[in-house]
Amino acid sequence: METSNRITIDPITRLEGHGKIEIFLDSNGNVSNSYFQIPELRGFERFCLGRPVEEMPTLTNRICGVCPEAHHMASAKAADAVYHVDPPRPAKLLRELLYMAFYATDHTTHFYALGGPDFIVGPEAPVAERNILGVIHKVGLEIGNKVIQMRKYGHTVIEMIGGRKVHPATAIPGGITKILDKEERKQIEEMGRWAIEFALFSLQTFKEIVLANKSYLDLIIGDIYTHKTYYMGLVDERNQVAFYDGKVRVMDPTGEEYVKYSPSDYLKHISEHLEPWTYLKFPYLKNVGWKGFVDGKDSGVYMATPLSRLNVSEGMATPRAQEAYEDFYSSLGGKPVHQRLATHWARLIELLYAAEHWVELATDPEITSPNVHNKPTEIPTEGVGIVEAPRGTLTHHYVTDERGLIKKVNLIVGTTNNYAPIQMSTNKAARAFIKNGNATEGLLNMVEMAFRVYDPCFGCATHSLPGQMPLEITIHDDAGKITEVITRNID
Amino acid sequence: MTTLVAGIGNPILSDDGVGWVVAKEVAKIIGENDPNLFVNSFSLSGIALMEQMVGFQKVILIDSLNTCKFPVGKVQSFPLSDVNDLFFGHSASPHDLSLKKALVLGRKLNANLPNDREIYLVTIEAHHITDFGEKLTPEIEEAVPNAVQEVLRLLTILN
Repeated sequence: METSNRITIDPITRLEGHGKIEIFLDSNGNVSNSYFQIPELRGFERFCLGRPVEEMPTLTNRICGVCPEAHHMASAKAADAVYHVDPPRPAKLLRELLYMAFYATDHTTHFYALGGPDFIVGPEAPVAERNILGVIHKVGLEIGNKVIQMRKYGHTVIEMIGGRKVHPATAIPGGITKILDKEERKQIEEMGRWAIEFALFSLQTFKEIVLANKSYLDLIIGDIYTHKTYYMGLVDERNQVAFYDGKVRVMDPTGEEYVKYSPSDYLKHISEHLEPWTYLKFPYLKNVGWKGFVDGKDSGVYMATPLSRLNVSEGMATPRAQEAYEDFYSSLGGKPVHQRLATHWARLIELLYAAEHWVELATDPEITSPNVHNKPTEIPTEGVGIVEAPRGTLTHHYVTDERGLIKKVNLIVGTTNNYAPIQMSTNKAARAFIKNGNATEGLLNMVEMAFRVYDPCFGCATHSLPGQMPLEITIHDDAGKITEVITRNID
Repeated sequence: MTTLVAGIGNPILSDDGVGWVVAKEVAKIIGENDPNLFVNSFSLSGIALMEQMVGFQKVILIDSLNTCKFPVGKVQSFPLSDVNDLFFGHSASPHDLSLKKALVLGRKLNANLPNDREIYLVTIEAHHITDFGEKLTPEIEEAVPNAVQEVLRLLTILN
C-alpha cells in the first residue's frame, strides 16, 4: 500500500527571485505529490485603503516592474467605472495605443530573452547557450539589435503618451492627461510600421527554426506539457482577441463557449481556492467548482495566457495576424490547442496583432484630438476594470466611499489565473522525471520549461547569462524526510 | 565624459525608496550647471535599467542593500566589478535578468555602456524594504546625508 506522510510546509521563508518546489515521494520512490510555492505579496490590497481612487493608476504601476502598463490601464478602467464616467474616444484610442506599444515590447522581450530560447536554441542545447546569446549565435547578431530597437521604440511611445518610459502616469478617471501632437503621431506611426516588419520576421524565424525541426515539433505537440482545461481571455464585439477592452470569454476544454461576461460580473464566475502551503490563492470557475489540480470539463481550473486568448476567440482583428492565426490552428490540428508549449507561438501572433493595431490607432483621425477627458460628475461607488496583461487576464476591483477614497481592493493579476495550471504542469514534469527515488539530470530543465511557458512573474529570470533562475527543488521520501535538495544558483 | 547618478528602488516600499530620496538631495546640491551630469530615479532593474545607462561613461547607482551583515543605516560604496555574483541585488528579481547579466547582454549587442569598474553602487543597509509605505524609517532617514556625501565624494573622484 502506498503511504506518504503529511507534511505541513510553512511558507515563511521568502525566497525572492527563487522558485521553490517541494516534492513528496511514495514508498516506491515515485512522485506522490509536488507543491510549487509562490511567495507573492498581497499587501497592495491593504496598502491602498484610504487612498483616493484617482491615485490608483500610478500607485498600482508599482506592483510590477515588468507590466506596470497593464496595471495602469486596468486601474484606469476601474477608476472610470467607480466614477461612472466613460472617457471620450480619443482618450481610449491613446490608452490603447500606449498599450499596443507595451505589448509589442513585452512579448518581444519574453520571446527572445526569456522563454523563446527553449526553442530557438533547443531544449537539448547546453544550458550556457539556452539564452539570448545562444539565440543570437543561431539567428545572427542582427536579431539582438532588433530586440533592443523594439524595446527602445516601445518605451519611446509609452513615454510620449504616458509621460514615463515604463511607469506611465497619464490615466485619470474619465480619460488621460496629455494630448498627442502631430509630430509625435508621425513618429509613432513610423515606429509601428517597423514593429510590424519585426513581428513578421520573428514569426518567420520561429517557423524556420522551430516548426521545420521535427524534434521541436514533437516537443510542442507531446503529452508532457498538455493539459485540457478551460481557457479565458478578453474578446471584442466580434469575439476577436482584445487586449485593452471587451468582455471576458471562457471556453470549455472541448472548445465550446462556457460563459461570456462583463467585467462587473466577474465575482459571479470566479472564486479563489486556498491551500495552506502557499501565499497565493488559486482562482477557479465558481460554477464548475474546485475539484483539485485536475484537467477536464468538471474541473474549475482555467488558464489565461496568449494561447488561451487565441483559443477563446474567433480570430484576430488585423489581417496579417489573422493569417498567422489560421496557419497556427491548421498546423496544430484545429481548436482548441491544449499543448502548452504552443503558447510561445501564440505570443508571436499577438506581437504581430499589437504592431498592426499600433499603426491602425496611430493613423486614426482622432488620435491627435484635444478631447481627452470627460470630467466625472457622479458620486463614486464601485468599479471593475479588466484588461489582458501579457501574462493573463488582469482584474482590478475597487470599492470607495462617497468621496472616492478606497474602502476595498481586490486584484487578480495575470499569473494568478495560471497558478493551478502551473502547479499541474510542474507536477506532471516532476512525475515524468523522478522514478524510483532518482531525480534525473533533465528534471530541472523540464520543470523550468513547464512553468516558463506561462511567462510568469517568477520564471522570467531563466535564460539569464549563463545560468538559470535560482531554483530549489526539495525531495521528501515517504516518511517526509528530505532525501535530496537540488538547487541552481542559490548560495 | 557623461555621468549618470540614479536612485533606484521602489518609492512605495518604505526604505526601498531610499535611493530616490538620496538622488533628489544630490540633484538639489549640484543643480543643473553641469551639462554632462544627469541625475534621475528609476524603479527599474535588469534590461530596462541597463538601457538607461547606454551612452554614459560613469554611473553611480544609489539603492538599499539588505545583507543583514551590517548595521542598519550603514553607507557603503563599491564598483560593480567588485561583485562576482551574477544574481547580485534585488535586481535579480524573478521578473527580469539581473543587472550584471543585462550589462553583459548589452555589451554583446554593442551598446555603448560603461564597464563594471565605472559603475559604482552607493548602498544603504536597510531591512524594511518590503513593507508598503511612502516614508523612510528613522534610521534610514538619518543615513541619507551620509549617502549624499558619499555620492558627492565619488563624483569628485570620478571626474
